[in-house]
Amino acid sequence: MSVTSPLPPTADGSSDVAPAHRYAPAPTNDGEALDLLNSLTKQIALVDEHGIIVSVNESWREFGLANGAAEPQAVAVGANYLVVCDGSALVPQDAYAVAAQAGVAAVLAGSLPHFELEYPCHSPTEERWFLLRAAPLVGQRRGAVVSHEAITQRWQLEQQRAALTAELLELKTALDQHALVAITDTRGIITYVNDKFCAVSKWSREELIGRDHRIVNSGHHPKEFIRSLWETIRRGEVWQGEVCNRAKDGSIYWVDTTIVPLLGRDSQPSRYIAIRSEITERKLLEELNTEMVGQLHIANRELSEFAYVVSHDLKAPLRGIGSLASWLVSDYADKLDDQGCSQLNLIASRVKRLSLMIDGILMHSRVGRSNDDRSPVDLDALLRSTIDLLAPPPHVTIRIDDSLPVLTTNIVTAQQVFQNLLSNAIDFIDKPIGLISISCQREGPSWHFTVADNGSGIPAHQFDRIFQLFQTLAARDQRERTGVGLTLVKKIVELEGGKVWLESTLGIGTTFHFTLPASP
Amino acid sequence: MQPHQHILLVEDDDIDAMTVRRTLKEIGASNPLDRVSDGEQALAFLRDPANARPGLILLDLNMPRMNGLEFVAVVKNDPELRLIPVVVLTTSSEEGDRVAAFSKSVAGYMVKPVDYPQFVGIMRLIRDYWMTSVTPP
Repeated sequence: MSVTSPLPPTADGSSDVAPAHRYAPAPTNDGEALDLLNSLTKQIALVDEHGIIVSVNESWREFGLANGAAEPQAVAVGANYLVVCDGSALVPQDAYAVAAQAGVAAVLAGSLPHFELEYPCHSPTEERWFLLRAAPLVGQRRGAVVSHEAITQRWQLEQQRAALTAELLELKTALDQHALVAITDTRGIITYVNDKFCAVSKWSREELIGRDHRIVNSGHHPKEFIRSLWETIRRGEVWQGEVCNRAKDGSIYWVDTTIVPLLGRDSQPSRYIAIRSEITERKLLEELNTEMVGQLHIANRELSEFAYVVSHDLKAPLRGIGSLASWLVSDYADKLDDQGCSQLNLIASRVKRLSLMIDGILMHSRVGRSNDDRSPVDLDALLRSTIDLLAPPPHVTIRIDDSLPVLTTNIVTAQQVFQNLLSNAIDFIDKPIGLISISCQREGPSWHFTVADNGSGIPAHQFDRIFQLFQTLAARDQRERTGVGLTLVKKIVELEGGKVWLESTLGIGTTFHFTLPASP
Repeated sequence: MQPHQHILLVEDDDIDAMTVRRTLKEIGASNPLDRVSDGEQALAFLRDPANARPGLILLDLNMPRMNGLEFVAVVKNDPELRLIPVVVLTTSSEEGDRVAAFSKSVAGYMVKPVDYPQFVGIMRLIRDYWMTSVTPP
């Protein structure tokens, strides 16, 4: 055996080593080499070409004692390491044992320059991992140095790092699916872009890297917008906003953008990462929305002008007709017979009806336009004053069963609702004693009001019809009604976000229901 | 207003003008009535020294060339004319018109009823009020 051999001698150098120990006595510096080997925490054993353990260091011995207590000889000098591998407590898992045995055997056979294997060897209380290394002896001797090294901490860290890396990769994959990602240096020069950035901007990665974001500038935003963005991120603050960009083909795209400054050791931004979601479709919808709202305003204004024109231009000639009819009756009374007089009076009454209908149209078109004047309205007080205003005939009693709430609404339209429902109820009472009762209940987010009468009732097939403009149930000449009231009630209640409906039994009476949201 | 003071009616509708004339006669008002058909004619009339200065102007709002609101704006900026009381007599019950008229300092705002007897009632009210009220010189 060469003096320069790195091999350790037997564990204690004494004569009680296994019979397989066939090496020459240790060189003179054996003691030092032994001390060196024994000082290592790595467990080291020297095996001959058959795998018989020839010598071990102190760590190997201690480990054997600590872990193989039942049969410490199994890992001691004289034991066959290959057999130990095969089903030993050290290598409890078959696949590892087989691999270890094959690896060490291959090194012994000279077919492998060296062999390494990380394997588990858990104690009942902790997870443990080891690195098995087998290296052949150099020179003419056959055999190998086998070492075991505890690598649990490293192994666990590696596991954690692998898990973290996998997780980060998953997050990045997900982010890349959703967002345009770019990283720039402090001057704004692009150093990284993801595929989505390229796909949306239609520039290739090669065209983008090394340029700044002016390459996608649409010119939509004023200079101050860009300047304020830069001031924010240069201070190390996150900037968020919606940006209009231009793609390579000239098309416009909108991105909801977040720019995060990444701070260097000096706490100054060292790079900026920009994450953008494309919102072009939403922006286009918003634009469309704005345009439609604008058109709606125009339509509303036209409607309001129409109402104005109707009020002036239709009513003026109407008034003329009424006046002339009335003068004919008074000026030519002696020349007209009874029939002539009654026909002229019919003209006057039709003029009055047409005038009421025009007023109804005006009222109907005004609802919703005067929506600005909203204030808290004490419906209880409003209802009582409405009843006073209506002055119900003596045979009709109006009863208020519940106290009505204060709601934020338009006082004029709220009064129109009660006034129309009540005057309808009064008009349709056909019994010597009329009773109208008003109730009000809180139901979830709404107030539920009812106006019930004991009048003639409405047939079910007319329920829809009565809410249509100018539809009345009685012949006009029997009751002078315009057919606007319930249409108005429906429009007002629905504009407020409520519903209106009715129940009715012929001959017994009708109950109108409507709801109003408790908070507008 | 004195019984001899003129009333100026600014009204483009002939029947409405007839109605006012007839009503004044019916309620026994002795004030002479001058009638013009739009704001421009009314200004020309008022600025012509040959015409009697009216004690009251009855003003329609919706008229061709110069409407009632435009006319009032000119009158109230004219130191010679601004003291003449102007009562709007119109078909429009639009809130916008009411607000615009009063913000130009009209003295009253009456909505013309379709029904002739009601119209007579309103004219009687106007006459009674202005005959009782002390007016500027």
